[in-house]
Formats: sequence, C-alpha cells, structure tokens
Amino acid sequence: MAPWTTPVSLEKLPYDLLLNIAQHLDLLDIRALQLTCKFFHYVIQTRPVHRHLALGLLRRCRALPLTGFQRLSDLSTEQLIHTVNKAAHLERSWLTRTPKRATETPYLTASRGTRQTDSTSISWYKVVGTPPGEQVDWLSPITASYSLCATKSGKVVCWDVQRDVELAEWNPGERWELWKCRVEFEKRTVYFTMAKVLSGTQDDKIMEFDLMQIHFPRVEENELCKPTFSHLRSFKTAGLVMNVFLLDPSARLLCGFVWMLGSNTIALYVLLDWDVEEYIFIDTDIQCTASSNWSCILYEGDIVIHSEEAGYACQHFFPLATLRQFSAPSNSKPEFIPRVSTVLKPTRTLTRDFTFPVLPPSSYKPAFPPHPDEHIVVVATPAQPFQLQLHHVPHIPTMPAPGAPPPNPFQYPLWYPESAHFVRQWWPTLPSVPRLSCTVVLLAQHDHVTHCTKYVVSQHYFRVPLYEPDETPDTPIDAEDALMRMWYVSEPFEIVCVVDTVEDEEDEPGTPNERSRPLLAVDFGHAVWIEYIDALEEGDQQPENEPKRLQFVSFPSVSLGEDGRAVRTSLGRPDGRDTGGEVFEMEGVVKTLEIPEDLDLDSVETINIDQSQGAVILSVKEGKIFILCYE
Amino acid sequence: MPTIVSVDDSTVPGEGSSRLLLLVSSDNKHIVVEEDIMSRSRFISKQVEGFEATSQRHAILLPFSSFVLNKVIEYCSHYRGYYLLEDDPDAAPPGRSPVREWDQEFLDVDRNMLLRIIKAAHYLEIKSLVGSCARAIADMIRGKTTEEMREILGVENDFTPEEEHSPSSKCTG
Repeated sequence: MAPWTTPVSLEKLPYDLLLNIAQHLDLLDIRALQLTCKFFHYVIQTRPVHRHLALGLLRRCRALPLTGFQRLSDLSTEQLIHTVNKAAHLERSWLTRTPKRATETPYLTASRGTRQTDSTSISWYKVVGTPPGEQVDWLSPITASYSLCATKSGKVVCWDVQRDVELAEWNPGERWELWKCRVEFEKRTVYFTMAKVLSGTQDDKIMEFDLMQIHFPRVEENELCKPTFSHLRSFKTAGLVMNVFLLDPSARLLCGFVWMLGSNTIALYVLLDWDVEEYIFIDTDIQCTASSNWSCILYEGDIVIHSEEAGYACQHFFPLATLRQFSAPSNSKPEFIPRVSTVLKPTRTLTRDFTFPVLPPSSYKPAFPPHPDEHIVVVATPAQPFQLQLHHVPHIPTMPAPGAPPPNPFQYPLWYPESAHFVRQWWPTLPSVPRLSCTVVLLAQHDHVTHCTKYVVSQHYFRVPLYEPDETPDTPIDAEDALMRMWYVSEPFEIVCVVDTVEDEEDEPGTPNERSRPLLAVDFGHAVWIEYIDALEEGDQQPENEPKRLQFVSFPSVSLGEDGRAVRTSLGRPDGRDTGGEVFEMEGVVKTLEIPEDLDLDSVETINIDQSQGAVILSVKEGKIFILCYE
Repeated sequence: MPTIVSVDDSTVPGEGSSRLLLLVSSDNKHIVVEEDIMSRSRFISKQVEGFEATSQRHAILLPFSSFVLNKVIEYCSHYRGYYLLEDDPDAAPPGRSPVREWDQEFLDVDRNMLLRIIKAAHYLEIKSLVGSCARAIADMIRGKTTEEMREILGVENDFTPEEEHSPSSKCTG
C-alpha cells in the first residue's frame, strides 16, 4: 500500500488543529465528540476549548453563572467547564421547555466551596428575611451572593443572600428614592443614585441627587465580606428629571434627561467628571412625546440618546468634546441652581424603521369586545403629552395585506407604552464580544367603558450606531440580520400592578399620590411577570385575590458575529408559536412557572430575574424575599 | 528520503519576474512552482529568506506526498495575489476563518484527503487553508451522534463501560 493511502487519524493531528476544528462546533457537537474516545475527551476538557464555548455563549448574550465578583480569568479550568455547562444547559432548556426546579445553583449553596452531598435536602428555592419592620421599595440582585435593596423608610441595605445576613446598610435618615444602580464587576463596586425633591413641581422643580458607591473588598473563601458605602457626590437638577444614567463609572461620567415643559423638549444634564464641581446642561431640541421611550448609551466618544417610537428608532449623537465647551461651574451652596446654557442640537441623528412580523390571526382581533355606541380610548396628544384626552379611534387592528410588508399590529395611540425596559449586557464579558441592546416594551390598551387594561409585550434588539456608515436607513435588512425585527407576546393578558403610594410635591404637600407599577421584570433573553389567570369578561377591576400566575417567556435567540451583525440562532428550538401547522416565529411561547406553596402571589411587591443563574427573585409584603431557582 | 538537491536558478526554466522553487514531496516527486504562488506559506517564505541570506537556493523537502502537495499548490495558485486576512502575519488573527465558497468546493474531498491537507497546510503555515479545512472537518461531524462521529473520524471507542457511564465523561450539556 502506498504511504499516502493509509488512513489518517484525527488523533494524530496537533492540538492547535483540533482546537481550530472545535472552534467551528457548538457545545452539543463538542460533547458528542468528547464521548467518541479517550483522546478527544482529554483534548476537549481543556481551557482553550471551553474558553471558545464561553465566548460563544457571551456572543449569544448569555451570561455565565459566576459567583460573587468572580471574573472569568479567576476560574480554574474545572470551574470554567462547569460554568459553561451550566450556562449552556440553562440556555437550551429555557428556550425549549418550561423551566423546572433547579437542583444546583449558587443562590442555594450555603457558602462557597462547600457543596451539599445529600441532594434530597436541596430545596429549589430560598426565602430570606428583610430587615425587621422594613418594607422593600426596590430590590436588585448584584451577584448570586449579594443583593441590594432600598426600603420604604429610605435605607439601602446590602445582603449576603446565601447566608441570609445583612452586610452593610446606609441610612440617610429620611426617604430617598433609589433611581439607578450599576455594577462594575472588575472594580467589585456598585454605584447608585438616590433622589429627593427639594422644591417646585414643574420647570421650577429642584431635585437633589446623591451618588453613592458600595465597594466589596476581596475576602478569603468562607469569610464574610464587609462592603462599605461611601458618598461620591451630591448634585442638584432643575426641571422634571426623567432619568439618570451612570454612563461610565470608571470615567466618573453621569448624565440625566430633563423634560423641558415650555419647549416640550429634552434637556441633557451631564457631569463629565463627578469629582469636579462642573456641570453641562443643554437643551437638545429633541421633541418629547408621550409615545417615545428613551435611553442613553455611551458609545466611544459620544453620548447617544436612543429614542423609540411605535414604528422606528432614533439615535442622537452628542460628542463629549462638543459638550465640554458648555461646561459651567457648580457649587454646593443651597442657593445654587443649575441653568440650561444653550440649545445644542445633536451632531448627527440616525433613524431606522422597525420590521413587523406576521403574527397569528388571533393577534389581529380587538383586545376588547366592541361597545356598540362608541369607540373611544384615552390617548395623550403631542401638544400635551402627559395629559390624557378622549379620542375617537378605529379599534380594529389592520390585518397584513398579501404582498405588502406587515403593518405594526399594535398601533399607537390605541396601544401605548406602559413601561419600557432597555437592557445591555451587564455581566462580565470578554473584550471581543460586541455590545448589543435589547428593548422590551409593555404595551397597554385601556377600555374606557369597563376600565380594564390589557397588555402585550414587544421586544427587539438594537446596536449603536443603528446602522453602519456604509449603510443607509433604507438598506434592506439582511434576512440574517436579527436587529430591529419586532417580536411579540401578542395574546393580550392582564398583568398584576402594585400601587405605590408616593408623596409628591406636585399636589398638596403630604398628600399621597398613587403610582401603578406592573410586576414585570426583564433580563437579556427573558421576561417574567405576574398575571391574572382569568381574563375579565366585563365589569370591574380585578379583585385583589383573583388567582394569579407567574409567567415566563424567552426572546428570540441571537448570536453576534465577528462583524458585529446579529444573526438569529435556531438553538435547539421549535421556534415561535405553532398554530395549526403554521409557525409564527416572531410570536413568543409563554410558559407558567411553578411556584412554592408558601409564596402568595397576591402579596408580591417587586420582581426580578437573573438569567445568569436562572433565578426569579420576588419580595413580598410580609418582609420576605423569595429566590426561586429554575433550570 | 531523497537526498538534498542543490538548485541553480539558471537550471530551472521559467518566464516572468517570479523566481522558481523546487519542492520535493515525500514520494520523491520534484515539483517546480513560482515563488510568489507559495508566498502565502509562512514556512516557504522563511525558507526563501534563508536562501537569500546564504545566496544558496535548495530544494525544499516536504514530509507529505505529491498528491497532497499538488492540492496545496492548486489552492495557493487560486489565491495568487489575493489578500486573505488570516495569512497576513501583521494582522490580528481572526477567531476563525470566514466561509469561502471556492474553498468549500475545493475541499469537497474524502476524510483522509481532508486530514492530509490540513496537516500539510499546518506544516506549511497557511492559516487560511488550515481554517477552511477545520471548517470542513467540523461540517462533516456537525449534528452527528457520537457513534456516527466515530465512524466518520475512524476512531475506536476506548472507554471502559464504567467510564462511559460515569458522570464525568457524560455531560448533560
């Protein structure tokens, strides 16, 4: 036999060739390959192969289940393999079936390093107490080990949820509202802003913000971490502050949106360096409408205001270098009030339309049975965005016409954005993974006769910039490009809302004001909410103790290519909802989550989801926090 | 193994400005090829640099058959003068090679041949060809069961029954 006809074995290939081959395979193939023989088993149980798999997960916007402030580089190869397996398992199973009780998660492990041996003693959920006599106003997991919560009396408390002990507390002695929180994993630090109203109600409203940090020092395993709170900066704002953004804590960059009532535009308030007594306050000339949802992103040297309307998204770019020219000194004297210095339009604005999908036929039916006499809904008008008026509107949604691009199935003002959730990758990632954002909007329609409100959920991804310089807004969206494509939970449901009582200076001081907050939480990839099981036919509001359920949905899975393009993945799924043989891939499949018997959904006050660990975190009125772990 | 052959430029017929190289395969076939065709190979480029330092041009002996070598030369001839990012020694290496249609057709060969080509490409340090071969090998086994992979790759199951059923070798993924 000639030497070149003898069979070549893959086993004879050098390791870096095998690694190169593995880079083209996903986890399922790699696991199958690993089982072929001992040689491949050893080749695959290595760091480079699993680092490649971790990169794949991060490119699909899946977080790795790390404990505490662990970084990827801190993991041993064995831990990395375990982490990748867990994340991949969660990813695939949550996309394909109803999440079920978890058997292992860092939330449930008593302390790091000690693994329970008796599997029957592991419960799939955990209940931790809140400080005695305190009610939770706001709660967020920071890592699987630590949670941060703001109480109704104004305290901010940091917990070790694994040990159920309070680690640190900041008590300003009066009610402040927690507005924003951002975790910096590399710095083991959480930044947050607290707000309170000093005076005024509209353009004359003066608010004070406290910017705080909590630092978690490195500790030995099994040693209790003692985080420390510290005050970084106080600043005042003038006008109706819509939101603040901790754009880049390492550069000490912060900004806020202020709604200018007179011109009905958005003003941008910026602290370029919060260690310096300077501020920038400019009117952007961007119109503020009730149908818009707003977010702010730092992209290279620009502050980008991202806004979304029902049919399109806009990005307005403000270079930091340009903004710097309008910097003005500030001080901490009581009489100091920041002033808008100028009108500064964005240096460029990008606009791109959404693409709407064809949904199941039932999605185009009216959300409420028609009332014979009139079709009136309550809408906001552009001139008076936050004042409601009665309007006649057609209530029949448009069915997609054959051949034409499908229309927006949930048109404004019939459906209005009740709340918008913008999510960026918050978890520790690798430098080569491109950044992607996800918008989830809870759309609501109110029936003025029955006073029922029904909700649907829309979701899409976007990136900054909305399109590359070589593209135009009209560049047809590549069939493979998954961005700007709307996805829905289009079957209207009734979400449970909690009513927060806040003291607002707008009315008589001391008069409580009621604010309704839907119990919906969003993370990259998934959303959870609490809804009423029986939709109301006719009549009054839902009674408080109506049966409720915890609902869960996964968004379409995307993967980020090396060119920054997002491509939909068909990761082990029957994609979308199948209605009588027809598959509607942009329609979500909602699942009902199992809940523990001792959790009463009637008393839930806050809801959170941590996709990295597969956990849903609910706080209830009785001062308990339920951490439900799924897999 | 063939003996080392000294080559004098004048003894090799050629046209144009590109100089010629003599490659000798493991089955002792002498193949003459224009130097710029093979400049995609880091290995060959380094050899040529060596020739320039000593002003002596030798045949380059390669540890694979002429059948495989001709296939590699076909690849390099196709991409003669083309810029491929993976072959740029000064560029940051991309994570993995992009899909190239011509390569897919070119590598539509049996498993043995594919493995020989990737080994040759690895020896010659032609990263673009290594990447395309790796992609092609991955395509052969993608979506297959462990048993099917054994068949395709020609490997024997050498796990003991205990090992096969132990949780460390099995993974739920």
